Amino acid sequence: MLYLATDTYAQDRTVTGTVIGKDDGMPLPAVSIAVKGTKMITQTTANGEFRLVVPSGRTELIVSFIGYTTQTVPISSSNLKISLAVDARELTEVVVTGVGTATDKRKIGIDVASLSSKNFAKSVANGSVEQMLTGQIAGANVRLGSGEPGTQSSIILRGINTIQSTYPMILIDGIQADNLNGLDPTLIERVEVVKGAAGGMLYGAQGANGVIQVFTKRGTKGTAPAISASTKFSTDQIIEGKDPLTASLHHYVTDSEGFIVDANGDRLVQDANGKWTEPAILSGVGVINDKPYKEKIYDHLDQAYDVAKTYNHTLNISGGGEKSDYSVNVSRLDQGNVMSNKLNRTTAGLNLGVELFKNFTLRSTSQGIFQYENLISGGRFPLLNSYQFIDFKFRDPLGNLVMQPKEENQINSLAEPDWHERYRKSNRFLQSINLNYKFPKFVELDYKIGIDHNLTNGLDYYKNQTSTLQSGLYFGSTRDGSIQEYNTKNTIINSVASVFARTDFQKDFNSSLPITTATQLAYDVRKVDYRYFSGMGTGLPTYPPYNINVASTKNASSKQEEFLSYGFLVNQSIDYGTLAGISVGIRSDYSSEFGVGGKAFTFPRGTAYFNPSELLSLSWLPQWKVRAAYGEAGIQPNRYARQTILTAGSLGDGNYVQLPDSASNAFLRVQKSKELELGTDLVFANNNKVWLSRIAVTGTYWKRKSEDVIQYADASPSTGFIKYTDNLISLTSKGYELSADATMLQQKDFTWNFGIRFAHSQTMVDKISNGKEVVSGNFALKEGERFGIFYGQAPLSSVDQLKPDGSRYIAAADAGNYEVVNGFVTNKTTQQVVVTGSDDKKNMGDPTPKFTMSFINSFTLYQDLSISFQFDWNYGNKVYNLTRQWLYRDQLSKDFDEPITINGQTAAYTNYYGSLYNSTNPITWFIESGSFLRLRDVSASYNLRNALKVKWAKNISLTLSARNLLTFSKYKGLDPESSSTGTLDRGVDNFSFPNLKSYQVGLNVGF
Amino acid sequence: MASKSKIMKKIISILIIGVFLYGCKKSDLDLVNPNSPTPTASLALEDGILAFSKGLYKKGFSENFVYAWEMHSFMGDELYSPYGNWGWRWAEQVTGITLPNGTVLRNPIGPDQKTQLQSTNSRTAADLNVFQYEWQMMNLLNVSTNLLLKSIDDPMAVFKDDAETKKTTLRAWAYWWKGYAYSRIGSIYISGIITDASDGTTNSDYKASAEILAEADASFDKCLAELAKISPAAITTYNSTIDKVVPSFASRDLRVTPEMWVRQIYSYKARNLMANKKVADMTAGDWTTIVTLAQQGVRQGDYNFRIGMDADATNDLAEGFAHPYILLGSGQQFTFVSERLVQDYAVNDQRFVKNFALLASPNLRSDRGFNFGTRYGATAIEDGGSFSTSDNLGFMELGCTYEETQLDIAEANIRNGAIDAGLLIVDAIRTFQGAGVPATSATGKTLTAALEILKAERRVALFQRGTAFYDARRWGITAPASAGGGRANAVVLIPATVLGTTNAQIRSCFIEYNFMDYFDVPLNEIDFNDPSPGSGPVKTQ
Repeated sequence: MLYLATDTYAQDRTVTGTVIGKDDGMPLPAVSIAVKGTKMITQTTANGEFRLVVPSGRTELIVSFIGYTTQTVPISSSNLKISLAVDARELTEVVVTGVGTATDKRKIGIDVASLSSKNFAKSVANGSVEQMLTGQIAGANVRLGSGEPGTQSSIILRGINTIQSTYPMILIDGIQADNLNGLDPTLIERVEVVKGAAGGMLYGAQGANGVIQVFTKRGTKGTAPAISASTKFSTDQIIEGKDPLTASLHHYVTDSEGFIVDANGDRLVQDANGKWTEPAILSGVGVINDKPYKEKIYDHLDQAYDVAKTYNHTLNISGGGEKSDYSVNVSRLDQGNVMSNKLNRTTAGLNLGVELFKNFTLRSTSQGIFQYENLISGGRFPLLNSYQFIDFKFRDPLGNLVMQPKEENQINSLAEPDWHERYRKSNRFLQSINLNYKFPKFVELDYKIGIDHNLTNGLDYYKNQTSTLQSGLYFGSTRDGSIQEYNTKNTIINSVASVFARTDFQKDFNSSLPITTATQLAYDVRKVDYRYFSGMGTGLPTYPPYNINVASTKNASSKQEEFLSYGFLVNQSIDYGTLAGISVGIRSDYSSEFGVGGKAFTFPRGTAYFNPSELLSLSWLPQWKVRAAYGEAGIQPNRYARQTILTAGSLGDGNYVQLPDSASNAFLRVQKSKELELGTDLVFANNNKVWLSRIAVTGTYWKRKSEDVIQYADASPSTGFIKYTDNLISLTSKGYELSADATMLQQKDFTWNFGIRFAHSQTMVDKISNGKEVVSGNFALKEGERFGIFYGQAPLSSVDQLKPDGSRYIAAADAGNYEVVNGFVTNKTTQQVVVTGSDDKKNMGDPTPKFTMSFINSFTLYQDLSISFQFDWNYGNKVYNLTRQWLYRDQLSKDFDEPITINGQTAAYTNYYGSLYNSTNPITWFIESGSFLRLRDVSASYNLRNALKVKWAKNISLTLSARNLLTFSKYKGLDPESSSTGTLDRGVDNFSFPNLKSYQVGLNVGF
Repeated sequence: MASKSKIMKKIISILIIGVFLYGCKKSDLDLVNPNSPTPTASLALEDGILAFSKGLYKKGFSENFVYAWEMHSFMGDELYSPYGNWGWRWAEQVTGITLPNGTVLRNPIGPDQKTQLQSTNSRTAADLNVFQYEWQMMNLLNVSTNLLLKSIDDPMAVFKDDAETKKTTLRAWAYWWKGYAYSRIGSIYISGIITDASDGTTNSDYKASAEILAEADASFDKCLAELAKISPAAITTYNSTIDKVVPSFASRDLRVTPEMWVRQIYSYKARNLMANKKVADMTAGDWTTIVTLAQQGVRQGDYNFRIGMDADATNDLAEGFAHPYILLGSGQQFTFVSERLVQDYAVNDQRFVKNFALLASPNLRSDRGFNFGTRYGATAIEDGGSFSTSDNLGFMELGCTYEETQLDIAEANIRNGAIDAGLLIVDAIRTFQGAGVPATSATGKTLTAALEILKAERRVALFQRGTAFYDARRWGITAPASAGGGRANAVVLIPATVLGTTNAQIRSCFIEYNFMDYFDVPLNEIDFNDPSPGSGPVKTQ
């Protein structure tokens, strides 16, 4: 496809230039630049630059790039500046994921979303690819539940499909990797996302969660080195709601001067080590939370969380020789944590392509990711659930922070770094080799092999704490300290050998029919090898050195897991021009989870598309495609789940074995997802108009059945087991997604692009094979209910309310003692709310949003200034505010300040709120709207090159940005997004680490 | 430059090598869990069976057992916990406390204990379902003993050297813990399941408490039969076998000999009989049986089956938390000593002086229950006390002790009219434990006074030994007040706000406990195992 002219003329001249997108002013890489009338051709670099030797007599260049209108440009100077306009007639991408081979988006029957790196949010300073995808792809729910550095985001593509992890399969240039953690975004060219089983099927019995594929940047053959360096600085702080979490008043017993006293009637005192005596708790009828603190009180969130600083530096060099291309990346991240300590990461990568001989290419992609973190984030619980007069920064006479500031087993998290040191280092290597040979006709052979090798080494060291003056609590498992060192090794090997056979009836058979066919045959092997080893010494001396050798008790543990799957894939597609096409395929996989006697699991698929716009030829509708796809894909059981074992370990100075609590199941099957998706892609054109010149819309409806979903089923203890693994559940999910991108305004010096992403999904529990509900904490799975609902008790809404057995909650004779206060039946005398029994629970709400929506705007002014912002909107999801409920335990919640009217009297009755505490059992009172509208990203970039008139650099841009700057929400906690992210444990605010808002400044220089 | 066909060969061979490098055979799929032993491989060998025998501790006595054990202490009112974890504070919620002025303080949650606990008998109540803990642990323990028995007698099982003695010792081990599991189930649940299966199946023929206790007795008898086979010549093998199945932290150095074990079983039989029959229903014959059993029971100096802790909280069952003494320690502070226990110490009892001290300020959680208040904390073992620790010290007595066995005889004597003979035993136990208080025998005590002394002594001497609730139940204290239950002259710390005083004060009150005699079978079982027709009751009506 691509070759440099080898014959040059005497009067040749060198032409250089830059190609940018007219829509956003950003440099366009990989644009083809051909000298009109010759075979001479080159491509632009990552910075959009090209250099070409033009024979004399040639005066025009043909500049073409997929998705943009091809231009013929006169060679008017030796340094050209070319801007390409988006081609309104075309869907803009060629995609690979889920279709096996690079295919024009017009010709595929499934929804493949793609995101170019130039659209990555600029406000992500911590180098998380996951966060850069947040809100950008309709139907991809990417949520970060915690602001702790290094936290992996939860990713759900199209609703819940399994009770195991929803994390999709990750591919890097076609090869399976473990996850996206630590991958440097600057080395990414683009990301493709296949959300459903139809595309996931290509990836077999593990593809049912969907696939995210990352394509790394490549250099360009025949170009001089292009260098790009960037540096970013960010400050991060926790997101807090508009109201404080805790009450400003109290209700403890006080003396005549208003100071809080203990049960002996003595004013509270703090001993020398910082431990307070306990306030006498006023409780019972008529107690009102209306007393101001005479004591000094502290804002514990303020005491705990600082502003953290993050630095991120990257360097890119790319270019190419005559038959080779290269791209080198180096980056360094230093991320502070708002609580303490830090995470840092260095990555280095090389993408090297060589044409060994004609049509035979070798490509090697290497990444090294070296990460270190020594985070100690402590618990938010003891800090919040504590008397407000406690000073967590109090130091005892030895200078140590107070550990146990009150009579309870709640330790001061802020003291932990004094006694606990830890780190985790990980060295991850990703290497893939791709050999590809294209025969002149018909056949292409391709072999890929990749290794994702991750070594981690960790330390957990609790100091000997016998020297503290504080006797009650200590950090770690024992007062005299412990030291643990552990190593893990995880290796994923993926080998894919493919044969592609293609025909073009017109070219190959001189037929008049515009039929093309593509056949893919692949043999795919995946191996996972995981090892863990830990050594631990407990009981350390008070004198150095502190290591396992000197510990009084030593123990070690290890674990290893292996997995193998292999299978064949056959896929056949037939296209009639770009008008219509179908593809069908099957994939058949063996897996070690089912052992040598296991049968292969076979997954079929089929897709079809039709482009009516080809027939209609309407100028305002240059593109209209309808498509349909069906596919099946699988999810593997957990490792060794079908094998009958005893569990073993150490007990005292010897070993033991026992029956496991959970019985294994020799008859386990792979989980299967069967998905149908229907969609349409349209482009409306308003040619050559300033406003709304182009709107591209993609809409997809999907429906999925997940069968044989693996879940633990409870068992009668008299069987000897309390649960067993089973293919227990059937789920049905459906939803729709809509993406729209519009060029709102396009003028010479001003461009405005606007995008919307919308998705709705819902998962229902169809059947539970034993007919019994699955209970897990706040959650229950019940036949006929939505998946993941919160499940709990509720305050009575009517005095006459009945129990499940039909009897009254409140005897008719007593009804007069009750009234409905704010919707809750309340005892007029005791001021207590009456709550349904724990045998009378109901669906309290759903943590799944009714829809998620993002609004992405970008503006370009004078081609040097670009401004963008993104709003993310989650609507209709519920959060269970367990943090607030725990604050009810100690009657500290802000709510306790709020007066209510009971029996004609208005006051902040503690009995009223106290009766809603419900001992942290789920109750509707703590269900809150988790809807929010968040200004996720706002950024402004200015290219200073023209302003500063510098010649030594091609690009000097300064970027100012902010992430999570504004949040609009009625949520009473810190942040509705900062809640649990498990599959069956979603949306619980349980003192998790808060999310962050941050401000960045960045400088990017290109040479 | 190579010819085209040569290039082609290269290309094709590269691809073929690629396929072969990672070509797989079906046999490659045979990946076996390398982390855990399998029953077939491990239980066919002596070492595996020994390790499995030791695993009974893990299976039966890890944290859920301790949570259940604590509930006995709460319902027996020797400890309290104001916390809702594992449903604790509902299990110990008394119906009412009557102040000296006649004011009745109703419990703050409303219903009585039975209504409350039955309302949380569901899987959806999760941790709150107090019925589940002892049921779960003791049933899992029972099934494990079944697998152990099956493995010992599997003809394929390989034992070295004195195989018969080893098998006999291990059979005794299995039958003892089987009897123990049935004893505990029968002593707290209205019905139970009798099963010898170990293959994941069960039956739905629920047997009433008395039948479960009979099965416990039968299992104990089987244990006795095995122990009788151990001849003096076989003692070395017995010793080495028992040392291999008792964890180092479980008092292994104080080995239970076959003779002590036999005596333990007799004491336990006495406990089962006494614990499950109200004193009002005890006949003279019953008391004679008790005496007969107890006289064959544990002697002074005998060792018990116990659970201690590793000093470094490593590889033990407690893991720095789940042990009664840690839970009462000043670090965890999950449990507190009851004022009703404190009042049962005789004046100047050195055991009190040694083990308890005033807290800096009282713990008083009357917002959660008026019985939740105390002025005292337990002195840690590391500071010279006996019942609490923050440093992993001390033992939980799983079986019966010398004191319990003696006090069984004392009670039988007193109730049979031999008051001074009974009090002599009480005095001896007080001396044995270093109480340093004047003798009570031969001081002309009435039956009522003697019984009060005996009851107080059982509570004090057997503090945290698992008998408090059994005793309170059989003495009728936990019965509804209308049925003569409750405790008069009970010391309660009443908050200042109730009394209108400036500080919380002690009042002598009447406590109506009104606790269930036997727990319902938890729905964790019944949800998947409906009672078959003719089953015993699974719920107290």
